Formats: sequence, C-alpha cells, structure tokens
Amino acid sequence: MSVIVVQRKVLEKNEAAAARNRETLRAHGVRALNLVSSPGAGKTSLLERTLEALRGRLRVGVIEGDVQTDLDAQRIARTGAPVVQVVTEGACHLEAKGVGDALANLDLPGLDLVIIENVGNLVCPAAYDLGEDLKVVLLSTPEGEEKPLKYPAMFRHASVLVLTKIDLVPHLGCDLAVLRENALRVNPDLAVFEVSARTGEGLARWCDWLESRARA
Amino acid sequence: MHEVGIALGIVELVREHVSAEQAPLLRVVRVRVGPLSGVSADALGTCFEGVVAGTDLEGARLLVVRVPARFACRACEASFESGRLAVACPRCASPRVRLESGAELSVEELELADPPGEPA
Repeated sequence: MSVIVVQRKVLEKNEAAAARNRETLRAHGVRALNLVSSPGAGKTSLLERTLEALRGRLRVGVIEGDVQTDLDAQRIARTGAPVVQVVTEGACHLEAKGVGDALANLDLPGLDLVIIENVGNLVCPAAYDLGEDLKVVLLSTPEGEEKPLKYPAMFRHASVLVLTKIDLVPHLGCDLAVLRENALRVNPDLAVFEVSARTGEGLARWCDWLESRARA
Repeated sequence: MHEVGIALGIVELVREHVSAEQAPLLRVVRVRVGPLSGVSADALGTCFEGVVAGTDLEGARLLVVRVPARFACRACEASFESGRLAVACPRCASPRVRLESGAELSVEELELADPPGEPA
C-alpha cells in the first residue's frame, strides 16, 4: 500500500477567487455585503427599500443571484441602482467566480458599497466565501423562533441578523425576544436589526448602520 | 448541502494527484470535515461512490474524518473543542466563545493498493 499526501481544501478554487474579489474591492475602496436567507424571507424587498433610502447618501451597486430569471434584477433596476444578475441555472448558491465576473460589470470606482443578494438558501451559501466584508442573514418572523438553532452554520458565519416582516408579529405566535435569544446563543456577536419593508419600521436604523459601515 | 458537487470537486483534486496508471489502484480518499462546513459525512460518502462508479476510480471510497470545531472563551481564555456550534465554555460557562476553526473540508491523503504482480 502506498500513500499520497494531498492536504488541499476541496473549495480552494473558490477561496482563491474570493481572495481576488476581496482585493479588487479593497483596491477600489468598496465595501461588500453578502445577503443570505431562506427563499422568501424578504431580501429583495429590503434591498429595494434600502436603496431608495440611501439614494444620495451612498453609491450602492447590487449583484443579484438567482437559480432562474432576472426578475429580482429588474426590481432593483427600477430603484436606479446599478445591478448585475447572476443566474446559476441550478446551483443553490453563488460562487466567488460568478461574483468576480459580475464585479467586472459594475463601475467600482463609482461605488461605495456592493450588496450581493445570494440565492435563497440557509445551508449552502455558508460554505462559499464570495469576497465580502460581511455576511448579513435575514430571518422573517413567519419562519419561527427555532430557525437559528436549526441552521447554526449560517448564523455562525454571519455578522449581522436582520429580522424581517416584523409587522406580521401580531398575527403570528412569534416571540421576537425568543428569536433573538436563540440567534445570540448560536452567535453572541450578531448585530441584530428588526425591520418591516412594508411599514418602514426599523429601516432608518438599518440604513444609518449601513452608511456608517460603508464609510468606515 | 449539494454533496454531489462537493464529491465532484474531490474527484477533480484526486485526479491532480494520481496518474492514469494509479487511478484503478486508489482505495481510500481520506477527507477532513468540520461541523461548520455544511457537509454531511454520510451523504458525501454515498455521493462519492455514485460519482466514481463506472470510472477508473470506482475502487475508491471516502474515509471521512470528522474534526471538532475549536473555540476560545472570551471570558476566561480557555481553549476547547466541540462537535456542536452553539456551546458555552466548559470551564466558566460563558456563552461568549470565539469560533477558531470548524469549517474544514479538505482532502488529506490517498491510499493506493500495490500494483498487481509487485511484492507486498
């Protein structure tokens, strides 16, 4: 029997591509966020409201990731923000190479912040560094208080948690305090925001934070 | 997790380390998997078998070594390991623990059988 030593990461190609993206963004002084959540948690709606609120305050570009269609890119385009759609055609997560190609189609010298809206999925995107500064995980109130405990990897990888659809709380059995507690149990360092894209509640605090992070 | 895609990535790495002559002799691919990797060890093994079936690598099986996540306690500086991700410090019970590692997903070694006809 003979042994061949390999000691290589399976995702090394993605890591190298992510490092290149990180360097490209850094060279242009642009911050980047990777927005993740279950499908339907409200990433695109939050993005639409955020882009409207930040108009004139921050120059934001968007990379949209979806399995099929450019419907989300169309919604973002209507806000006037520059947007590139990445269609994965089956892949359940964005990879650094696709993001790198998309970055090449954005006018980086003219931007302060790039927001990457990942494919809706609470499992797979956790393993794929895209070159972002931060992962922001969204969790909507109908999804239930135990979600962070059931998907610890994603909540561990994220730095920020945005609780969405808080306007629905009176109609659900959702206890926001329990939800927060569960999330902080999995990741005590999570910064937590509570928003409703519908009513606008919590949006100002979220946008102020985004602006200060992008300028830091 | 899309273990088939990960298995294909493993095969790609393996092919960079074994020649065409060596491929049919490959018996074990030793892989390290941490709890933060998002990968199911069992699913990965099954997918790997499926991916190599009918190829010159079909004699190979994955051996998945599960490594624990390593933490450092922010309160008392204790260093410890755990297979779970939502943990408290075993020394001082503080929940304020820093995750040091746990997302391992790597191919460590390949074990090959001896070519037929050669002395053991």
